[in-house]
Amino acid sequence: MLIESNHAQVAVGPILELKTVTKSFGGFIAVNNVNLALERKPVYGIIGPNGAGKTTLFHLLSGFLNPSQGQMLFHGQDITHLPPEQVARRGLVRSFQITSIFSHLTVLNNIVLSIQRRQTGGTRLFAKSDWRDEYLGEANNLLDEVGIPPSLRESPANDLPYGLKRAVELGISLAAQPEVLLLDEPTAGMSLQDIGRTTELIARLSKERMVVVVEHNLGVIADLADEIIVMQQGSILTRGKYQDVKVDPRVIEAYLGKRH
Amino acid sequence: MSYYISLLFNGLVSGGFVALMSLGMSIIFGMMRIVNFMHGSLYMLGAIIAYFLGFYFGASIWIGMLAASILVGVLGAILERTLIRRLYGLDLAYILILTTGLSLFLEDTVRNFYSVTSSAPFLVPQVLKGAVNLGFIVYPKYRLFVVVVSILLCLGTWFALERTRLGALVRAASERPSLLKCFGGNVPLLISGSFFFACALAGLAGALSAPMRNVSPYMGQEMINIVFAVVVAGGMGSIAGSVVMGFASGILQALMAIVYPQASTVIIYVLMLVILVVRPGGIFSGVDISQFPLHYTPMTERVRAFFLSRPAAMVALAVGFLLPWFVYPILATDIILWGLFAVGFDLLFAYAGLLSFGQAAYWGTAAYVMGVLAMTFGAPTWLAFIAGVAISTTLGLFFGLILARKKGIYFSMITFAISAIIAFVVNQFADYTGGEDGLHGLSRGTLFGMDLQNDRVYYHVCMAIVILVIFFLCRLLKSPYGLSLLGARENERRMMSVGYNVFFLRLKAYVLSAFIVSTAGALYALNHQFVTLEMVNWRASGEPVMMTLLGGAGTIFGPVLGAGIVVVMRNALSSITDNGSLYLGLLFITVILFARRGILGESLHNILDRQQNTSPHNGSDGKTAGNHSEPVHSSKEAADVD
Repeated sequence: MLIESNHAQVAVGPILELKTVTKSFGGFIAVNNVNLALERKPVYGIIGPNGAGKTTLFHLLSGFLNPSQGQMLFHGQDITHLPPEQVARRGLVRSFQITSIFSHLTVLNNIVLSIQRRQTGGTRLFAKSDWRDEYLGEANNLLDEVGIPPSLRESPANDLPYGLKRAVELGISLAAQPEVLLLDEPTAGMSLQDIGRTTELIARLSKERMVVVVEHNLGVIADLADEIIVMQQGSILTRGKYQDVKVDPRVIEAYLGKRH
Repeated sequence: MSYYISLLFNGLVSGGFVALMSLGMSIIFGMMRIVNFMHGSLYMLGAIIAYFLGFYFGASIWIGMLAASILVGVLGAILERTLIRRLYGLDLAYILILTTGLSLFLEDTVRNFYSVTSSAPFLVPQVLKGAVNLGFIVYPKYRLFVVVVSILLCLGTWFALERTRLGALVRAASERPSLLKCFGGNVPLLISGSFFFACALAGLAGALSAPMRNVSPYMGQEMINIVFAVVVAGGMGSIAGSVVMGFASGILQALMAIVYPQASTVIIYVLMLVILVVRPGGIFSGVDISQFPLHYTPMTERVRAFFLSRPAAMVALAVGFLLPWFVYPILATDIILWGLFAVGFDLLFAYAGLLSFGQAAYWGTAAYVMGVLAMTFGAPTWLAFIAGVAISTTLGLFFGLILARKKGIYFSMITFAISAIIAFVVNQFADYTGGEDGLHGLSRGTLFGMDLQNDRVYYHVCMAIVILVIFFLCRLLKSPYGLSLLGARENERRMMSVGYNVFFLRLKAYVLSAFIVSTAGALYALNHQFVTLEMVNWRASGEPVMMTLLGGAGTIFGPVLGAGIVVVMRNALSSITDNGSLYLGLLFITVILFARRGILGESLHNILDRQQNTSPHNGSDGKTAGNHSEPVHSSKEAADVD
């Protein structure tokens, strides 16, 4: 129901491609010579121990950081040095690991901001006083989908409990109707119940768009991901199906340390 | 040759004062993330204390320095403990305004019993009198003494901070106060101690300057402006940066005095502007403050909706039409035009999240362009008016292209530098602008057959323009753009991540603000029928800040109300007492401490928000944040890494 027709382009070759992408901060190499090609698949999961470079990879993909070296292609087009807003407009939208919403705006306005950007640019200086109405239907549907009860939609986003803030976070990204959704630890810090709900939601979303999700919770990844990419110390350790990856000795070593 | 060397030494002398001041300012900023705008007044106090000790008790510079640093340090520590501490964890702007209020208060208090201007050569003891032959130059001993003392103090401070255990604790407290607390460090004591030390340095610098500079209640004002620029250019919070830039500024001024003496002050601002554009974090990397969000106490959407509603507009209209029956029409016009100025400022402050210290650049430019066109080139008033506003707004677009990429205190400082440069340019072209004298004899002319020379008629014309601007502003704030602007203020990163070009959103707001302020400025000049340097002075940029906070930022009519109170109070006070600044200073202090939403904002908050919203976890309430006993470095904690 959220799908947009122009996203149904026939993909030839990988949708997202990284070539020798490296990012260093001073002497520290956060992402080291990553080569990665992602074909159209519902859900990719990226896992790896703390400091593996997962979030940095997201920052690079979404244009918030510029790689020190290498090239990134989206549908074969170079997005390496595009600013974040340009990347987003091409259909590659991310969420944030640390909840990043518009705290003092109402929940509805959080979503409307994202919808109006996609539909009209959100820069009109003058509009009829009821301009918001044309977006409210879509916004409410979306809030239904991410599970925010109608009674809370006119209160400031800041007043929501943590789990629902995460839902708003997801909703803002979703409202942009991206072709590829980059989710940075969508279940971080959530209660078990919320995790289950969010996992189901992501599974539903992935029917309409490609999702790349960074996650620490291996249970979530196991349920969701069609393919798993394991990162360690800035590099891609391995990729494959969950069953294969979880028995890979290198992965076990990365998580548990070397056995003596 | 020796002439140039002695000029260079003079540069080192004035650089020494600036370095001592910047050092203190930098310590305070690094430690508490606050900008101490009363640092200039503390410098002045130091000089006054030394002066009095020397004048009445025949004390020498030694006693003067000791007493000034201790007394000023103690005063600073007391103010930190009692007042400034209450605002930790809030936006930089609040403490800045609190300390500005304090400095108004201090200056006016001092002026009450000391208003002459003279230096205090009697402080210099026999050993430091006369000159010394250095081989290549004969130079006054006392000046050499100043250079040596300031260099030694800077080096000593650096050593203490970098090499001693106490210094390590201080640095730890400034990095992560909460963590140090966990380890058992006494953070509040460390903070007060650093504050004492930094203020003592200012007092000492003041005492040191007393024998060779004019001691006056206002000597701190120019000093604080330069120090502020130096600290920003050196890298906020960087000890080395502020010291090096401090001495460099003195030398640069001295060199400038050879080539182009008139520009010796403005060169500091030009330097800062260039540094911030080329190297955004300052010369040395200090604390990264570009990400500091504006956490001033925002209006809730409920309150905002009220101000944008029809009844509010009706009440404001009624007040507007009744105003000239209560005060003189000229004063009434002053109120609504200052109000319009403040509204333009508030568009940037409350809605775009940008605190400008330089809106007087447009207030004055529009007035001067209009004045010059009308007076020198004989253009009809209406044409000169339109040209003035148009040229000034275009200037806003030009500066906006630089400024819209900046945030936080950097944005504020660049606006400040720009307005200082504009003031300099105006002063330099005295043939056209009249320099210190200004332009007199502007005629309001006629409009559609109405005689604008009649003050009451002119009030209503201005009123009509103000209504029009505010009407469009209300429409704009309710528009998609208005929402986008709020979004950009709330969370820039999130806006970018869904495809907004935040730069253009901000640029638009900046140009709009420049347009509103220009309109107000040109009308204001016509109201008084003259243009003076006052209109481009940095104080003129400060007025709308005060008015807006007083009335209530983000409440549309609040800034106008604030303007009314300030203008009327100043007018009334000037006939009762000559301590106007003192009472205004007190008013600002009170508002910042007890009613941060401003008068309108606070009353509406009490009526609309309290009754419906009693949830205890409302983090947006400034009152709860006020209880933090130490600074909150929110941007650091929010840096998201793997």
